[in-house]
Amino acid sequence: MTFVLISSSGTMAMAVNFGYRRDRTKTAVLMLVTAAFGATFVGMQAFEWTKLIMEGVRPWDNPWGAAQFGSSFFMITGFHGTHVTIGVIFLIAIARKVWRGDFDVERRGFFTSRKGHYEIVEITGLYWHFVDLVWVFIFALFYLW
Amino acid sequence: MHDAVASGATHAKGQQHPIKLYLVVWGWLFVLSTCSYLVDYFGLHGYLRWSLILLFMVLKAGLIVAVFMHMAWERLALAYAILLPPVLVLVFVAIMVFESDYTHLIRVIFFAPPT
Repeated sequence: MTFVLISSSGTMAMAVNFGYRRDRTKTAVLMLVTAAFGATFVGMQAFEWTKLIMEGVRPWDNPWGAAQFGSSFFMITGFHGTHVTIGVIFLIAIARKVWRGDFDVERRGFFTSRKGHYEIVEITGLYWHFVDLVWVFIFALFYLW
Repeated sequence: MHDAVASGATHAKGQQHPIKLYLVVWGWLFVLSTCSYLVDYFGLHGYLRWSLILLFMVLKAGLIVAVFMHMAWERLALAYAILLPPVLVLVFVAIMVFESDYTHLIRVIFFAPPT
């Protein structure tokens, strides 16, 4: 899971780079690859949760030790997974706009009716890297500790 | 209008780095992740385990923030504004950890249930 999310951060960083170069195809493709990695991550998390729940871990109970582990584990990884899911949706939406060339013609946005710029690729990237950054801490402190 | 376009163009050049840099950082992140898995694999215990886990964690976080999030090319003031508050929180946590023994001692002395 760690490698999947790190790879997604790598592809996202390169997508941002191509976004600055205004290379529409490469940016969009790399963003979609990032989204695919993110979806893979969420899928693996679903499997992991299923396994742990089968083994008797609950938000109020933990067969191997302190009950607090169950609650904090499910809450923290759950919130993180939610943000990954939101990121995947956001990535797909922005990748579609890049692909269509919205930022070259400064087409107005659907909700905001403001002109789009390639900066949104960097902003999406910052969001995605932060989600990856949080996973670095979760992985170290929950899985390895 | 022309100014806006020109500044947009200069800004677009702002974060142009060779792809190789991202690939190298990506590789390092893989290496560091593998190292932290190996800590678990070899079953290291105690302070060695914890310090290694924290070391790899901080290195990975640093690489992501510095290169992927372009912090290394930001102004120094911004880097301080973002990095200093979490560091101060960690200092506060450290102070609380040091004080915890003392607090626990006081509780045991004054609030221990009579036996």
